[in-house]
Amino acid sequence: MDSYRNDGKTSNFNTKEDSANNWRKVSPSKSYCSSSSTSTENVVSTLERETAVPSTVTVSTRPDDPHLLAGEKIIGQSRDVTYLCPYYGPARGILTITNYKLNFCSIDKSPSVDVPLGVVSRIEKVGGASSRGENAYGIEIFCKDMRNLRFAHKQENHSRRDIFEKLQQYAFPLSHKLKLFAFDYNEKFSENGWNVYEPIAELKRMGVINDMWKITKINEHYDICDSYPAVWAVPTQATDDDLKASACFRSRGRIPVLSWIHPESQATITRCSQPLVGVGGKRCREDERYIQLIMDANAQSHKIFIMDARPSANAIANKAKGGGYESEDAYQNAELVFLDIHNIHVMRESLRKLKELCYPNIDESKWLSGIESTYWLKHIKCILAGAVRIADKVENLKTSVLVHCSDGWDRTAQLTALSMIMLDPYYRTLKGFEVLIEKEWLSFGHKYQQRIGHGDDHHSDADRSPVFLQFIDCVWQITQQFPNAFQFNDYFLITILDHLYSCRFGTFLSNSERERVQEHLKDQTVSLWSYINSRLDIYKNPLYWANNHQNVLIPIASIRHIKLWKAYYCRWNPSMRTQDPVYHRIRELLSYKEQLENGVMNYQKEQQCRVMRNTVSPT
Amino acid sequence: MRSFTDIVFHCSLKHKTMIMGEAKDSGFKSYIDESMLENIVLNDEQRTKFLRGETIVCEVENVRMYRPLSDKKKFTTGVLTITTFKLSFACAEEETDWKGLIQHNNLLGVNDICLSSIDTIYQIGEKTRKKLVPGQNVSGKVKELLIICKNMRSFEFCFKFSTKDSGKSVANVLLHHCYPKRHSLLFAYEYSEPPSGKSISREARLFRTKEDWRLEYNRTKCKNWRISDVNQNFRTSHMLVESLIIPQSLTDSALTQAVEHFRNRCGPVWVWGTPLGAALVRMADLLPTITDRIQENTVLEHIRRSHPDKKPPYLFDLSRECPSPKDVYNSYLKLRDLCVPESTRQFKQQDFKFYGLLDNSKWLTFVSICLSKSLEAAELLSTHNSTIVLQEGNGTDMNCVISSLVQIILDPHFRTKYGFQSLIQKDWVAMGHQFAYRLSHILDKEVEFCPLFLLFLDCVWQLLQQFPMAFNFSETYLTTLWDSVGISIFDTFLFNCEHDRVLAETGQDKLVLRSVWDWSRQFNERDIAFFCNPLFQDTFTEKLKPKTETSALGIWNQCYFRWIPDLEIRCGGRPQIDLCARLIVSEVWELREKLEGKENCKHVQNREEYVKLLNTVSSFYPFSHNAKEVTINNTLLTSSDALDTQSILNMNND
Repeated sequence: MDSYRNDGKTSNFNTKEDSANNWRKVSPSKSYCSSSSTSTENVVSTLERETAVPSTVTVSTRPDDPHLLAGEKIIGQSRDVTYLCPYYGPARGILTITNYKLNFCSIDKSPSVDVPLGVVSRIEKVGGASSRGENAYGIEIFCKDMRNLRFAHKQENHSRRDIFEKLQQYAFPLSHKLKLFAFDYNEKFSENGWNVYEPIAELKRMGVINDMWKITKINEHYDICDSYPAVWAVPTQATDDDLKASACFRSRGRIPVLSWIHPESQATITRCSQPLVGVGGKRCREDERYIQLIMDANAQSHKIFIMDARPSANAIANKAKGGGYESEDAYQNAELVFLDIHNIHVMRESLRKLKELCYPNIDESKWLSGIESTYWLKHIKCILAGAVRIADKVENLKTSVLVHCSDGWDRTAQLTALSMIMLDPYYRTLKGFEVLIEKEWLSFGHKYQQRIGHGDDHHSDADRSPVFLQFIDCVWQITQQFPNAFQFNDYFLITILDHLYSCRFGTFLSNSERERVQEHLKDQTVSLWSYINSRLDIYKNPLYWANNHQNVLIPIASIRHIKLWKAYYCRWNPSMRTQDPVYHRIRELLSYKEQLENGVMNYQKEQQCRVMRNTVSPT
Repeated sequence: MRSFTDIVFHCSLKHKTMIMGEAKDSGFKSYIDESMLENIVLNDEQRTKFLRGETIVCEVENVRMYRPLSDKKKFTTGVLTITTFKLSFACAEEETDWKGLIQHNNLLGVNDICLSSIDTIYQIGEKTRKKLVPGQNVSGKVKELLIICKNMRSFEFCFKFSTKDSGKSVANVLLHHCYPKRHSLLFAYEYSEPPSGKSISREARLFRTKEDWRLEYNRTKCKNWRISDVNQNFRTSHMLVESLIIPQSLTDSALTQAVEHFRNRCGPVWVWGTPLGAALVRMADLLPTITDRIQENTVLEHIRRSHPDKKPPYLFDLSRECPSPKDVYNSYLKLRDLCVPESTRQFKQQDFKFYGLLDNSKWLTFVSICLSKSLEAAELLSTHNSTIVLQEGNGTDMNCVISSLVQIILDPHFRTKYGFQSLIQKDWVAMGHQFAYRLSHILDKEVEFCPLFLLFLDCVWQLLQQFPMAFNFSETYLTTLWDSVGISIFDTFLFNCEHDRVLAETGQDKLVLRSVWDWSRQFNERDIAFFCNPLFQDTFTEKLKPKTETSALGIWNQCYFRWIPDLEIRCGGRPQIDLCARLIVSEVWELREKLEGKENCKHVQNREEYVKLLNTVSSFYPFSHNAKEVTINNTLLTSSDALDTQSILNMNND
């Protein structure tokens, strides 16, 4: 008891006349803050937590060399470099470049920096040989993960030249005819993440094989659609000719195939790309019939919703380029809804503004209006709102929904994956979420290579866009609204994002399943899920309520509930770095509970022993 | 079962009501044949209940109450009653539907609000919204009234189907009774329920007596100060209590002389200190007519001498460094706009630029200023062992906010429910925060309404978010406390100062004092149980180091948004964390008792209850007033662009 409680009256909160009622007695008075903390505290970078390196791989072993991964080797080193840290000020030390990362180790006690070269978007020289002022000459590195790094070199003998060239080479290996690090990395894990997703098993889990839906391997060799997976689920009634004809009418052959089916009502979520309507308003009877088949596969409803993710203006504009949207005249019983989600270029610009706001320091006086002006949360809200509408139609109206945008690999993936998370508790587990990413994002051809720009130096490439990051942000928003509905914590989400860029694992490389097969990624690289699944404990949410009552989550898509994910976007700023105190406390309580459980077990064992002894001794 | 010991049933009136309805058309048609609507009689449970001493002023049948944010399309029909205590809307909804989902108040029904909680009344026309001014009468026809309460709740009533002129009379009755000009017109003076006789000393220290101050002074182990009777019979200052703690070296006569120079005659008063000798002192500004600062310097010198190391105190000029009550009031109005949107259209417009509007309200900026000033003072007190003198205008507004926050930051005692309640008694009630004016219990032209107390509660809520293990009360407790400030039965927040309270208690009115801290008066044990925080760790006695920047602050959803049904997350939100924590703690208790060789089945029962709640409660629990109506409201889900581009959204089809 603390010293201030000398009046004997303060304890009334826990003790009450009616001792039989124990409602109020919820705060145990004993201390149990001694429990060891888990590594999820103070998440800065999930990349800095590395296992020891097998000695056989190590090439050089100087004491100040950084830890190396299996397959990692030192490429270059610069021993007299100043890291211009925006928070702790300049620090002198050694800059090491490996084929995987950049490591800065300061000679004093300042924190070190460890950045996988995969996150580097652009490298620039700052100042010239004649620049004046301290630390005016050096290298600036712009990263994909919301930070920039500046290093100052000595202004003599072209001291930065070697490091600059090595950085260019290994940060952008594809532009220099080199391989990505994932192909050199060869660490062994107890789990094989490449086996996490098995398309047919997943379709069976959903209960696809029934009277209405079948599995087809028509795209086994990726002939019908080169950006789609090999295995599809389509209505039983649909013939191969139907599928082929429809493919001709859909942008890049991305015809409607099944994403998810409701276990009871059989209402489905299907996905595709825009129809090739064009200015002339072309029609395709087979495509119309095919969509009718999707509708008919759900006996509960005589209607189908077509959710076009785009703003209507964009959809109309696409007609000029040969695309467009389904007219309700041509598609009987279909209702078309535009979800007003903007394109990849708008999102990229929004993230750029967000980075300006969050890095390196935030201007407190402009924080709220700054968030407003980035539009980032508005885009997040829009995507969530769209997914909620899809989930609502499927769950409450028992009506099937067909989702598309232009090509059906960006906004469509966001919408189907999010609505599946809302509808199906399986995708809220660690394993299920991995399956979801493998299925809706990877197998359906979200172009990770293009959107992230792995290993190439075209930093201003118009194909780059934070589409997947937005999806993860939306997932985080849902976890905030439903704190006990997810098996994973935000450390898991941050880990995924870190390795989205790192190029250490093969998971997010290439643009499609076809390319991944061609490049033998499963044999040549390690899956991110191997790494994650061998240490699942640290990614678990202590509040996860396994026997969850709630099958369907309907988040509130109002900006009043949507927050900026500071633990991700502002994590480089040490003053913004906080661990969630609630989760921390819950973990303490749980570990205390575990201690007590062990105590009780020992106590019971003792008792049993005593009983045994007592029964034995008389004889 | 509900216990209604203090309720007299009113049975002479025949209550008729119509069941809940939904207008099919967006346009509102008055030709609805009344015979088509089912008339049903309210049962005893549903009827408005009355307290002893409460009298009916006005009663209107066939009143429609619109569901918030339904654009007048969803409503309930019932009986609107206005009494000397409350506004009450009785309808045929099954009370049982609410059980377990919302806090049950013994004094007020689900759709009741105390007249003292009413903030603004608007007359609603076809396209107009006119604020009704207290003291003036409404003469024209009143079809609809919108009533906005201090706790951000709003009621919208339609009188189209009631008897002629009933809208007008309701408006006039409200204007007359909601804004009394004299204190003795408040319901507390009419309430004739005999006092419970229960001692409040277990709930809070009231700081009305010398003994309370002595105990507090001893508890802090602060030295070199003395308890003076200089304000006996409020000779020195009307605003303060009779016992004051002042520097040991300051004589009563010197103090009497000095206070002449201070506004409100509020000289320096000790409120808290540390064993090392640093003290927290508050006082008012010098009178504007005083040009020399001799008297101020004299008292400051005495304060310096009271420090064991004779360290000069730090002076915090809060009038300059903190927002003025006027600023806080304007900020509150803007915040309230965000919490009480008029229509779905306005809701969406606000959503469209929410963070900008929130920024513009400055509410979080003010929270941030209060927290950072308090943290600064707390650091000086603890780390530098310096005495802090808080100085401000009359010494009764921002002084209360900062002074109490400093103590919460430093002293774990004030983070318990008992300590927190005592702190409010000490730094708000005893120190003369003008609750009667600031909460506008009575209308006064000079001192305006200003929810400084809400600003303080918001600051405490922010601390609770950052240090959930440090407090033994919950956010539900804080929200309930804000609801309770507008209930004119309790004397705690009714008076401007102790002097007024004493006059009312001993004068001809013989007011019976009822403390708000007697929570059992309002709530049953189950609801009170949710006031405590399952994450509390009573060994946590450290000083708090909160982040005070706006970026580290959040919006108090439960308090501000709970009346907007569309914002309630079904089976989600904080209550889920709270209940999970209760489950774990209950298991911990059981295990500990097992280790001690005790077996107890109550834990299992509690857990069953928690699990049941986990499966049903939504994010505003226990304030889920519209939980059962929550359906997916598509109007909220249209994208922001729908406002500037005309997209083809067909909202009415489902």
